[in-house]
Amino acid sequence: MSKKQKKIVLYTSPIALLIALAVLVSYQAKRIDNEALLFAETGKGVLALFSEHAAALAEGDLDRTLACYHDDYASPQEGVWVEELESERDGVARYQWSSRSPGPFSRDDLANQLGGFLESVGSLSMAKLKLAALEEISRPGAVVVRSILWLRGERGEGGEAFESHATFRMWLEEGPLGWKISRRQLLTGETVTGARQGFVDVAKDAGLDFSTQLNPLFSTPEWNPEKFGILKYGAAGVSAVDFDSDGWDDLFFGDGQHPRFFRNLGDGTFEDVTEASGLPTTFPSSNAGIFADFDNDGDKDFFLSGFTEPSRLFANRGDGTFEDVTAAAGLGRGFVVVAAAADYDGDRLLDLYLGRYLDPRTELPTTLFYTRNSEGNSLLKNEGGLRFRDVTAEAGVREGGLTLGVAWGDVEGDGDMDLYVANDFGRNALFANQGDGTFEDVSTESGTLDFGFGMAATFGDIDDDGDLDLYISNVHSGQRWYGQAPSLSRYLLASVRQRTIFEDFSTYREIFSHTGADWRVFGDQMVKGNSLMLNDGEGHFTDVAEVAGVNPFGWYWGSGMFDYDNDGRQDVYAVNGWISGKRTDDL
Amino acid sequence: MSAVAHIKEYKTGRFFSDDYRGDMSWNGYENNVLLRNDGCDADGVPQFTDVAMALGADDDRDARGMAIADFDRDGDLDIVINHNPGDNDDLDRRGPTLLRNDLGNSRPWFTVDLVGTESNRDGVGAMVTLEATGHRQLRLATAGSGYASQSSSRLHFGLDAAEVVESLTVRWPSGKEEIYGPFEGRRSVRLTEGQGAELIDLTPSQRPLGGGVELEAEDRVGNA
Repeated sequence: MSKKQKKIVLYTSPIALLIALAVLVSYQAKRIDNEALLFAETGKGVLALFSEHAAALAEGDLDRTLACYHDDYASPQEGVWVEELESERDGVARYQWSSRSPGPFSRDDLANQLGGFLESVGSLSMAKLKLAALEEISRPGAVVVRSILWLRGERGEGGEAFESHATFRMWLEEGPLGWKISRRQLLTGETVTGARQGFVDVAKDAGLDFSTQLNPLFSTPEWNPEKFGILKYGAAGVSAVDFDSDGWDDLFFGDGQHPRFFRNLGDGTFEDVTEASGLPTTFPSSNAGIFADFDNDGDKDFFLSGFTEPSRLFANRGDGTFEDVTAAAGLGRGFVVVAAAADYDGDRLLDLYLGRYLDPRTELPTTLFYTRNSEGNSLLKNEGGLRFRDVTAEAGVREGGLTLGVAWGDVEGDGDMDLYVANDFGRNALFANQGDGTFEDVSTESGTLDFGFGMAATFGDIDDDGDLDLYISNVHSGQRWYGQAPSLSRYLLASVRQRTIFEDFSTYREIFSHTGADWRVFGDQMVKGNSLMLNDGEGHFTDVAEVAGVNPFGWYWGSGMFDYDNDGRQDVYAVNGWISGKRTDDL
Repeated sequence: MSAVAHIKEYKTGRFFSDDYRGDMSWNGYENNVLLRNDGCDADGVPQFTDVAMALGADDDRDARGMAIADFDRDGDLDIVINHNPGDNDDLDRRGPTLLRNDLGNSRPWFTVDLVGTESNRDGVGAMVTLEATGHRQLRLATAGSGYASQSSSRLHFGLDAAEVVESLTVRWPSGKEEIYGPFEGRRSVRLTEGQGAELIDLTPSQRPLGGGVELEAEDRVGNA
C-alpha cells in the first residue's frame, strides 16, 4: 500500500472517524466548560463587589465605597458628576447626568467625586448596582462590564424624593483583595425628583378595606403543592366597570378565597355588595372578572374565571343583581387565569377568549425559559341566550403557552378583531383574524414573538399615529449577563450531561426554529423587561422599549395605557412585585 | 438561580417550593412605575420618564391586576390595584390600592360612552378618534386587558390646552363610521350607533374620592 492509500484508509476508517469526533466533542465541551466557568466566576465576583458597593453607598460610607476601587484607579476621561435640568412639569423635575470637564481622573479625584455626591444625597432608601453585561473578559482577572447604578431616596432642604439611574462602563481587575474597579466611564444618567404630590392611596377611606388571601386548595395534597404550588402567588385581578349602569364605575376584586363586588356610591366611597348582588362570597379560585353585555339586553353580565374549579357566568337582572347561569353556559374546564371579550365573527354577540396556565398538580414549566405545556386556551363563541361553544380548533387559535395576558384589537385596520396572547416562560402569539371565523398565527412575521415572561398585554395608540400599538409586561432582572452566550452554551452542555436533552429536545427545536443557532438574541430578550411594540399600521410591530425607556427593572404583572395628566398623550402604568417574603432580601 | 446548572433538580419542582425559598423574597417589595409619555423623538418613538416616585404612585406591594377609571368623575383617571398576599404576615400589604389622581384635571378632558345598535351593545372593538387643535388621539373600547383586569368602558381623552373638541370619529365594530362635533371640552357624550350624540351630565362626586369633607363648588372640577 502506498503512503497515499494508507492515508485514505486512515481517513475513511469509521473507527478513526468516531475517535476523531469524540476527541473533537470532548475538546469542544472542555472549551465551552472553561469559557462558561470563567464567565460565571467572573460575573459572580463582580456581583459580590457591586453588592458591597451598593451597600456602602446606602450607608453613606465614603471609605467603604472607595474600598471598592483599585488603589491604582485611573480613568482617562472622567469628571465630577453634574445634573442639568431637562424638564419641569406638574412638580416633577427631570435631570440629565454628565461629567464636568472630563479629563484624566485619579483616585483622589474619585474620592472628591463620590464624597460630593454622597453629601448631595440626603438619605438613600435604596441603592443597587446592576451588572447588565460582561462586555469583554480581556484575560482571567480583568473584565469590562456595563453596569447600572439605581438609587432612590430624599435630598435637598425640602427632603424631595429622587430616583436616579446611571449607566457606566467599568473596567475591573481581580487582586488579592478580590475584584476592584480600576477605571470607569459614565455613559448616561438621569434623575427624577418630586414632592410626591399627585396621587394618594385612599383605599381604606373609600371603604375598600379587606385583605386578599391565597387559594387554600393549592396547599392541599389533592393539588400536590410539592410540584408547582408557587402558582398560589398568581392571583388576583381587578375590574373597574359600571356594573349597575348608574354612571359610576364600580369594582370587582378577584381573590384566592373571596371574590368581591364593591358598588361606587358616588360620594367618594364604595360599599361591599358581593352577597347582595348574588355573587358567591366564597369561590377559592377567582382571578379575572369580565363585565360585558353578552345578551345585548342593556346591562353588563359577568364572567368569573375559575382555576381550581370551572369558571362561572352570571346574568345581570338589570337591577344590579346577578343570576348564576353557569349550568347551560358551556364555559368548559378550569385552569383559567385571564379572559377578554370581543365580537370576533361580527354577529353582534360578544365572544370570550380564555387564557389558561398549566396544571400545577402534574406539570412544571418544561424549562425556565421556554414552555408550551399549558392546559390550552379557549375561544368561546357566543351562540346567544348566554350560551357559548368552544370553537378553538376550528378557529385556529390553539395556544399552549402559559397565558397571563389576552387582548383583542384590530391591528391591520381591516375591520375585524385580532388577538394577542402574552405567555409566561416563552413566547407570545398574535392571531390575525381572517374575516371568515378563522385566525392565522402571524407571531413570527408580525414581529410579536416577544421572548420572555409575558405577564399582561394591552392594545392602544401610544404614538398617536392612528393604529394600535402593544404594551406587554415582562420581567427585567437588570442582570442581563445571565442571558449571554457562554451561559446558554453551558446550559445546553448541562442538559446533555444530565440527559434532560431528550425530554427537552422539542422545546430546543422550537427555539431554534425561531432564532436559528444563535441563541444570544433569545437570551438577551428573555430578561430585558416590558415591551412596547409600535405598529406600522399594517400589523408589523417593532419593539422600541429600550429606546423609549419603558422597560424598567422589575417583575411586572398588570399594565396599561392611559392619560393620567390629560396632556393628550397616553402614559403607561405598570405594577410589579412577585413574592414579598418575611425578609426583604431577595433572590 | 442554580436551577440553570441543575436541570434535573429543576424538574423536581424543588426550586419553586416554599421550603427552598425560605423567608426570602423573590422580586418582592418592588415599586410600581408610572411612565409619563413626553412625546415622540425625531424617529417617531415616544420617550418616557418614570414619575411614580416623584408623584407618589410607587406602591411596593405584590401587585397583580390594575385597572383605570375616573371613580369620582372629577375629570382625571384614578388607578386601582389588587394584590397577592405574598408570603409575609403584614395585613396592610394585602389590601387593595386606590390611587386618587390629584393633578390630571388641571387640564381639560373629554369622555365618550358608547352604545352599539348594529354592533354589540357595549361597543367593544369600536375605535374612537378625537381631534383637537389638529392633534388626533385614538381609543379602543375593550372588555378585558392587562393582567386579569378590565378598565372602565368610558373612553377618556386628555385635551392638554385645547378647550374645544373639533371632531369625534367612531368606527363601530359593524363597520359603520360616524363623525360628530364640535364639542366643548370638559364634557361627556354618549354616542348611540346610528342615532347620534347626546351630552350627558356626569356631575362629579360632592366629596373627594376616599370620602371626607364636602368639596366647595369651585373645588369641584367636573362638568359645569
